[in-house]
Amino acid sequence: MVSRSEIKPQVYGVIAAVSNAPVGSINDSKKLRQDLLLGEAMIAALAVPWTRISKSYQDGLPVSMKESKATKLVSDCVDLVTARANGQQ
Amino acid sequence: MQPHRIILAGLLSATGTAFAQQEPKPTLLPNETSTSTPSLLERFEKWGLRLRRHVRGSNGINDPAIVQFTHGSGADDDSAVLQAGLAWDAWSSTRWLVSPFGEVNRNTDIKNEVESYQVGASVTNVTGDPQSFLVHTQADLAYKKVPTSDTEGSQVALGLTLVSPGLFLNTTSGPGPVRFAWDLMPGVVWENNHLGADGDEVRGTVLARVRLFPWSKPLDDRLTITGSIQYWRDLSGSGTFDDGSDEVHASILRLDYALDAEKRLGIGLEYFEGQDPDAGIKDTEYLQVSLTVKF
Repeated sequence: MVSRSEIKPQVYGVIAAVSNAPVGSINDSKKLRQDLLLGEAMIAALAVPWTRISKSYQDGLPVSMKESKATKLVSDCVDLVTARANGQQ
Repeated sequence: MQPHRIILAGLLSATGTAFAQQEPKPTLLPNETSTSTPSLLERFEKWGLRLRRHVRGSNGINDPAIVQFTHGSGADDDSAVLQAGLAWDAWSSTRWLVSPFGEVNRNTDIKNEVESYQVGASVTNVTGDPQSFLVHTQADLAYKKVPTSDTEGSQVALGLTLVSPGLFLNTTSGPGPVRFAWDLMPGVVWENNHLGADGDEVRGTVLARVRLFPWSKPLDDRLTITGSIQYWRDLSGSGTFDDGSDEVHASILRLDYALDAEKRLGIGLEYFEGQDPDAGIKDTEYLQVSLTVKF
């Protein structure tokens, strides 16, 4: 089983890259829109790196743009990728 | 250009930012499930429904729907405006999203009367990686009815936008207590119209936008100043698009202040000048005071 703590730094790294924020400034409570100023299209497009992370694990499932679009906080992204990496819909 | 007018508007958005400002939820382990019952609004969002000012084009697709009443000096000067588009993210994969939509655009102002309805679907694709370079492609197919010009017919639009965090998007702090972000979105739009007369057009476009958050920390980003300008240049045009105006622009300056910590309620002041061919907005100029409700 893939742990949340294993997924978290990978998700933080992606969010830091797309928001031009230092990795150290990213935490679970950051809001994707207000704090990191990510737009709706960008949040939906994060389905691409989330799927890449998830599918790097044996039971990993893809993440859809609709699922990615529904995330509001960094913690939502970590939870979503952790669930998919564990084969949970 | 029309003379300045001041109008009072109510803006409604059924997604966007509201839930993003909730306190962080307790994190669930992968095999845990939440037992709380989602509210109607949370369900609305979970179903993938979006209520916006416009469902097409770069301007307005992130703005709340608008219901507005303008009171003039005479009975004929009173007018009402309704601009609302509802889209539903019906099917999605990692790189594709299919969203049926409907949109109403109604303005009863005698000098600028508009009545149009459209239904259709958008197909969105992303190619590349958002961490480096992303091509965002959106194809819209709509059937439009315009009673004010007694026309109806189909519209097809294909838009390509380039997105690159390092190159075109940036967020930074300073100087002093100001936080700011800027983004630049170049793209190309092809549009084909069968509205009364046939025609098609290819136009290049670039949107430049700057957002300032004065006294960012003490105000918790409640005050936002947004300035944007978008240019379109016709690369080719025929039929209804062969109108002699090869270059158009839309300039928007917006001041928003959130009244509550969750940023669901707010007041806004917007100045718009120009025209937006993607959204079908004719050459206009206005100053608008609004009360915004985001949910």
